Amino acid sequence: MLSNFPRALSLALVCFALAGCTVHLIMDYDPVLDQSITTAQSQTETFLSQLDSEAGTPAAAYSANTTFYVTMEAELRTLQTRAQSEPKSSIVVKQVTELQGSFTDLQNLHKLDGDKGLGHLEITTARSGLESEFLSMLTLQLALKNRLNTPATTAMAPTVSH
Amino acid sequence: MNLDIAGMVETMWGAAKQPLGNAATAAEPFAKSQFTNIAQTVAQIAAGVPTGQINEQQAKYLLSIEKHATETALLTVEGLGIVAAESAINAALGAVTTLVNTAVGFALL
Repeated sequence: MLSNFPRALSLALVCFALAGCTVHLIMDYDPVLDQSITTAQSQTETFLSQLDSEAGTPAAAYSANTTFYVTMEAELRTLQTRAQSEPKSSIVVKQVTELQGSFTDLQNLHKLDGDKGLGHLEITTARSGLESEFLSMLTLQLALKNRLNTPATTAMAPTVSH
Repeated sequence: MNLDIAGMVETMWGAAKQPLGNAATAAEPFAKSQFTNIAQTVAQIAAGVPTGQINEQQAKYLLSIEKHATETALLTVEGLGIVAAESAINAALGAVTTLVNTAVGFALL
């Protein structure tokens, strides 16, 4: 990617000269998108904690929790549309697609377990994967937010729970 | 079954760093900590199958979530590289603004 740096610099210089602009290679920071990702994570954490505390009871069965999956599907579709509406947003759009895939996996796993509900180890491992995804998405959002100050490329991802 | 988590992380990083070029060093702390989280979770899943805590079908879905998590982490690494490149270009251009404007005699940049 950076092997084309001299060419990119030349193009950027032309851009500067013609338009007096700064170079934008990736989408602008969108606070609504950032907040929507945080909200989706919060709802997911609440849902998984509730499922874990109700494990083995009828309240943890898939049939008792379909509303969460319907709601989350709608929220992620809205997030996807929002991301798609931004120029140069292909990376974030792909991230939302991956997240949608994870929720489909979680739903299928829950369906598979049926009335029994998800087991503790299933919840722990699914939560870890989802937390990793949210963390990656929020790290990129933070870098977009801070791009004019300090690029967040040296940010350390905190350890997720296991 | 015990998986070599450090080995998995190095393998993942080895595959991810090549396309990053010069941005690889800057993205390494984030990428390695994320890959470590993912490798630990994969090891948990693998350990749960022989003990009967997780069956094969359940493991398939859980591993698929980890695949999505890995892909999302790689996308972030790519995005961080682009942000770094963008900052470098803008800093380079900003550094020559005075020089160029003085040379041409008006505010070109």
